[in-house]
Amino acid sequence: MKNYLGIDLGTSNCAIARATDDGIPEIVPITQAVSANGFGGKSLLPSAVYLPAEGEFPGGVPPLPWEKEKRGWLLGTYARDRGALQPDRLILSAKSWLCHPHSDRRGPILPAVGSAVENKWSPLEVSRQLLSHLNESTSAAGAPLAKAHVVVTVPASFDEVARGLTLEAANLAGLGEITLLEEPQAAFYAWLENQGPEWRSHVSAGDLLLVCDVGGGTADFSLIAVAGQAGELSLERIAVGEHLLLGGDNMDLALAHAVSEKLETKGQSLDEWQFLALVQAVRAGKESLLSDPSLPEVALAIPSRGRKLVASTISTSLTRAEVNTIAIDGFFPLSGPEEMPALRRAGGLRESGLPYAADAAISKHLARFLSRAKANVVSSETLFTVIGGRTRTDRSALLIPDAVLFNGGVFHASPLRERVLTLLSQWAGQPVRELQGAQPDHAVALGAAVYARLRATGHGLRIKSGTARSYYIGMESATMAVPGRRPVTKALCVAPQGMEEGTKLEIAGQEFFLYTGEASEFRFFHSEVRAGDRPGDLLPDASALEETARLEIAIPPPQGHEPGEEVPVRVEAVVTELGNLELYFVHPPSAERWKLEFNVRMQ
Amino acid sequence: MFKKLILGAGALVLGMNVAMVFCPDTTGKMGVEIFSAACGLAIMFLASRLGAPAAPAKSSEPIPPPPTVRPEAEIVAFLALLQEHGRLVDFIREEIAGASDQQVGSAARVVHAGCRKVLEEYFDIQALREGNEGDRVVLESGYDAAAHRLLGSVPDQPPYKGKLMHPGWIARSVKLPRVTGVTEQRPWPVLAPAEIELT
Repeated sequence: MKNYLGIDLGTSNCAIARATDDGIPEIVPITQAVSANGFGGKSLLPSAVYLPAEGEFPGGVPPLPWEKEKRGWLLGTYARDRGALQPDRLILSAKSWLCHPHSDRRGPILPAVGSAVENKWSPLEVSRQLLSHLNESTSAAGAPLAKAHVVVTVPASFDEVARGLTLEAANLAGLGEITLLEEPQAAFYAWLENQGPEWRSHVSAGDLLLVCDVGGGTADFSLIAVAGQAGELSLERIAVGEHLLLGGDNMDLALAHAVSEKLETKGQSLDEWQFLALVQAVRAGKESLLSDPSLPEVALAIPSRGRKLVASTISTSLTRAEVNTIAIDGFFPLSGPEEMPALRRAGGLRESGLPYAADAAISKHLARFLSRAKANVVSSETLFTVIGGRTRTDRSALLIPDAVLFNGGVFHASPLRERVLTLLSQWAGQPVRELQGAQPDHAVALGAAVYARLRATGHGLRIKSGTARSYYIGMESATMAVPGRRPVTKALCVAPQGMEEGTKLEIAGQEFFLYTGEASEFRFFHSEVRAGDRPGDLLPDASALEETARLEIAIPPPQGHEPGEEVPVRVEAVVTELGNLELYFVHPPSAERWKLEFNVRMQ
Repeated sequence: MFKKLILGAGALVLGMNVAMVFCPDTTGKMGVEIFSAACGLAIMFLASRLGAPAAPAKSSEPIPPPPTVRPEAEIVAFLALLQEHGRLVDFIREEIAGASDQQVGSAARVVHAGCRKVLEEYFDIQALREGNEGDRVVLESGYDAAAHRLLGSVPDQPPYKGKLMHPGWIARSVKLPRVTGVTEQRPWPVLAPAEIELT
């Protein structure tokens, strides 16, 4: 029997699911250290690495059953739990660093806080070790990943550099050839699989569907259009959101601060260990209040770390009003369609670290996404037709969906799902419905396994997607020199949004001049709002785009040319079968090709 | 299939041994018990290695073969989990005669939340019998005697008619973590490490 495996390489947790040719996909337990004294199988592997101090484990860290040699770090549940008390040695959310364009993604930068750790890890290394652990755990259970069809998910908001690094990490981890899939799409595949043929009765041609994925630390949005051709429904992913570091953990922290302030007014102050316990207690309390509308409040008990539990536990409570004001109204306010998130903090100087969202209102980030999605479809005639043209765009300043598929742990709570639906319905002026049957925790891994099977067998409905955004190369403009003024960088569109896997295109009829033999700077850009650009379009000013990467390389001159010479080249873009974008310069006279590795470090 | 059989055999030997430890009538044959536990674990370990491919090299230092895990180690490790997440040992060891119900209640919430999490994680606990306390119950001959306790005066022959006092509990599945890191000097793990806040 063939194995089709889906890996959710998450920011906070990883999961792995297996599908077979005929059968419901299922989650595979992951063997990992669960405490100082033991290991066991769990459905989630926390994406946490703990780097112990010398002497913390004199005989090496507790070995896992498949290990034959000593290892100097911990990974998974025990790493996360131990690291909570020694945060300087804990690496969390490495994936957010992997897609952070201003971080050195191959450099030893993690843990980002503190100087306790001498040999830090790179974001790439963390992804590699997580995947390697998943590989070894599944291999030990008799299903090596290298012999299976494997799909690894990435956020829709991952740029090409982060996607390339994920492929590289999988390769280093010995997974063999893998395919990437966007997480919101994976959640949608899981929903399709779950519904079976019934799904057609829940959507109709012309519908626009929002996948709203809010996890522990990140929020990710995508829009999928349903088209009807000759009575058959087809799906196309038409817009993806920006990378947003905002999620359920922010809610827990906000609630914990509120409770802690309440205790302060009563003269009880918490030390940092008690605050950690408070965050845990508040999380459980919030879940109880959100799942049981009859509870007015829940009691919280906050232990201290000392031996006296009865004598020193602090008791307090979390009220429904606090959850309503802070978690619901604070994170999902009923804001207007024109209210956009504050994008920058007020301070001029920011501590180096992850670019957490400055505005906690997920509603406003959603408005921004839908407004940018509208700009994106309006820029492209094809997409404009797909979403139903003016009948939809005239309705609102935002591109309003007809239905929502929820994903991510936050949406276990029905009041939060209802709030998002109310918000969208207010913006739409008509009801927006929920696609029932979501599985918020495991949908991404399950959907990835379904997609792995679909890719290998060709059976099943595929979401048309291709590249998530349009890509550009920066180009120095041919203008006369003006003293004191750097020439404006133009941007050449090399891959439009929606360029499909396994396709290649050449910027036809245009040649550019390439400096050879000397180090030159290349800049790469992308945009989520310019689906209408065609390959070869030259934008007068690249500053309207997002910069993806910048690299300095010396391209050797082709045969018969001297270093320092300019040679005419053509640009070729390839989206591989595995879904990553590659760019080449081709020198037609000598037929030489140079691949541009733009998934290298940002200078 | 072969692998499943050996695993099963190993588990059986181990299971029998754990049962012996808990059975007070069979004390005094500790050496035999330890030997049979070792056999059980060794068989399971061998089975788990079958078909496992070589792991990539991590560092040049090989891991010495793990010392045999004694059954006590598994139990102590589980108690350590209850202490880690639910502070169970702290709670039991503390004198509470002078504490108010309010204080004991707050502490009980910590124990309840943490121990519950651990139990839910490692056991699938279900009610043994359907039905509610107070329901009328009839036990026909051939009933599962090991899973029922009869209270009051018991006639010689079933059927037994009575009232359900407690529907019972059963662990439908157990997936306790395997113990690592035990040595000759420390044959079972510590219950809770001493904690030192660095200043």
